[in-house]
Amino acid sequence: MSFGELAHAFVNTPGIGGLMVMSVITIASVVYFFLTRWVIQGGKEESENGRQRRRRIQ
Amino acid sequence: MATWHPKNEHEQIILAPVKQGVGRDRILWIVLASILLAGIAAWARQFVLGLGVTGMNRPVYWGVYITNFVFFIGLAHSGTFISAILRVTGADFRKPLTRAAEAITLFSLPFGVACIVIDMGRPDRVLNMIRYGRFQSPLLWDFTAVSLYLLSSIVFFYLSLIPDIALCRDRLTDVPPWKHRMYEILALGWTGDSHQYHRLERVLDAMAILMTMIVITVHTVVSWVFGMTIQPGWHTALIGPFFLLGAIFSGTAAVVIVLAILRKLYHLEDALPIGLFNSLRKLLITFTLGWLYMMIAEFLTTYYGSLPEEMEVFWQKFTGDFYLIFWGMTILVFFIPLFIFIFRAKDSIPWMVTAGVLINIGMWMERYVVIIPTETRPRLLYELVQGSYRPTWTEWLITAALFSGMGLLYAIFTRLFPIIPLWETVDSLEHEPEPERPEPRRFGERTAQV
Amino acid sequence: MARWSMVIDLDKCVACQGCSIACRFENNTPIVSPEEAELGREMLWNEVFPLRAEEGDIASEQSRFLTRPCMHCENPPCVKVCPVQATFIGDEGIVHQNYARCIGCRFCTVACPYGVRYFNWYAPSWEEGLEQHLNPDRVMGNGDLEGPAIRPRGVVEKCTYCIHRLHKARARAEAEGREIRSGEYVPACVQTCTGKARFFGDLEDPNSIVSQLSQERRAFRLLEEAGTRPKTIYLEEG
Repeated sequence: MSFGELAHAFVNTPGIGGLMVMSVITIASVVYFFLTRWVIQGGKEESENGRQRRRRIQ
Repeated sequence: MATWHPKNEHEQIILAPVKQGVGRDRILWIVLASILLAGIAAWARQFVLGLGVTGMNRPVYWGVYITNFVFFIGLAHSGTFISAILRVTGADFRKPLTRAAEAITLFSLPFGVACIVIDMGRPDRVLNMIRYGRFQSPLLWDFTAVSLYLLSSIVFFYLSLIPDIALCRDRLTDVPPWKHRMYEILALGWTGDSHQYHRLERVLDAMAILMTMIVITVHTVVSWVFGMTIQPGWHTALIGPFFLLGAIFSGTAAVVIVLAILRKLYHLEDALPIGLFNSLRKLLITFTLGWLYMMIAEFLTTYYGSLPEEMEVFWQKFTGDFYLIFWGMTILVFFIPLFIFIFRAKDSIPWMVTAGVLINIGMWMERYVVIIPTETRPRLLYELVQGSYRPTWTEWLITAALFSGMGLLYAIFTRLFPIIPLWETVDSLEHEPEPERPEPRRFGERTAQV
Repeated sequence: MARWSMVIDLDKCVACQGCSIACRFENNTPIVSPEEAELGREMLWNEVFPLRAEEGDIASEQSRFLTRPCMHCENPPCVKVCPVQATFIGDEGIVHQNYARCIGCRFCTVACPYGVRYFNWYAPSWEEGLEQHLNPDRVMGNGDLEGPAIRPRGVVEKCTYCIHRLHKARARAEAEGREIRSGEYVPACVQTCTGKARFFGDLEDPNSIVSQLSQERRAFRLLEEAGTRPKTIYLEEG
């Protein structure tokens, strides 16, 4: 199967488009969830572990 | 550890509308909700009977609903423009406006999406878009971009809201229990630790870049729904940038209107100084001129090319069935606003609002005049069948409902959360007793708070 | 693999609209009220248009007409934009329309430069008595509903070169263990054409009538410059 055929199959097969939409949304949701958690956790462990870690880096 | 909140000199006036609760707003809410309900009823009727209750026909297969779709998505660009693009470019005057602008994004997007569902002949089959979605169709690009935009806007908006929700949780102790419970849950245990603020700033900076990319994608993709066909007047590479500029233009004008209303109703004169309006005025002058540039670029090219099918659409706009809307639109979004901005609007909020309203009416007409005239003179059929279109009351009622719905959500929001970001408008986010800070900064230089 | 094609000789067309009517009864096209028709919602998969005369054209003394079924393009603009593959180009070059999957977004109707696609603004209805005489043929199964099958409201429909007739002809040929004979499958409009102006056949077969006629000097396609490569071919007048 040539690249052209593959590209055509990708855009032309029903279902793949839906899969693309769902994966984009799912990936974004997961990333945003962890980002939010990371921000909120700034107040807890960061003050202890984070500071030590940074010192080690420096 | 007790939660730390930055000291904001306007805290009292900004929190006042939230403290006050529903009050006399109830009448406004009821009016807006009734219009929304009437629209839902009209839509239910349309669903049962079929799209025949609209004025759409052959060849005008898309009408007011699609116009609304483009308009609402355009309106949504206000918030992202103000909060993301201006954040990336480091324009600090944006700070007090960010939330008010972003709320427009958040509350207009769902209604933009609703327009598509309303316009569908078989809304009950909407899940076919996922089951059988084909990525070749520009509609799938729309679907992907708009859903990602909606999701990202919610997260971007919510993240910047968290410190203020925590503030509400701690300061507003005499609100009804359900409200207090809501603040507690939504604040996610925010403590106001300086590391939290630091991480928040970093995430917001990073997301601002992402949002800028999404916003450009979204409106370009919306325009490509038209641009990817071979219909005269639509099939032009300019349609993407033109739609994008129009979106940011109408969005920014909408921010002016909303801001003026909030300032007046909630007595936020001190928190929203007139200088903000002057900054927006400069932006709007740029956009007005940019709009003229796009108009000339588009129509002069068409006119010189003089392709017969393109000229059919061209004359439909300039002298044909749509000349009133076309020239009205030109006057409303260009001549009058430019005059107002240059000679009247400096230090004058009423004039700014006038221009903002005219621009938004004009931009709605612009969307209409981009979409409909092409359909009345489609490529082959212009020789055979000439279309015309007159929207019916169902379409107008549903349009009114969409705008009411957006207004309703906005009005309710302003009573639940502070509409001006408290933590972003303070002079310093430093914890007074804790001098130890600066960390390496990765995304964009924040203006020094040290 | 066959590549079905139609040739319409405009010299022989007498604009009797027999093709439109035959199509209507073959494919159960809904009938709309005069008020709806006034709005531009009449449905004729095969429509006959009077051509507007150019101003100052001497030939404008003579009325001219154009009869227009679906072009069944090789590069169809409607297929490209359909989000759910409710419309697609089949192995034999026919552009299908699946009523069971169509979501009614009307992107294809807007994208088609020939205006061959029609939308069911309301649920279809027929005059008293007429609904007793609908064509019972349909192409269905496995999430598919095509051809003369009764359409629900809110979906798009179009000329399919009478695809149910192809299915029938193929079933018959298979039962008898042979290929489809030329002339065994023709759409209703071709069969009925008063002036014998329509021809139908397989473009892949060099001896078929459509292959022969498509080589004629008079042969042209609508909007050739649009690059859609229609398989409905016209023969110019005079």
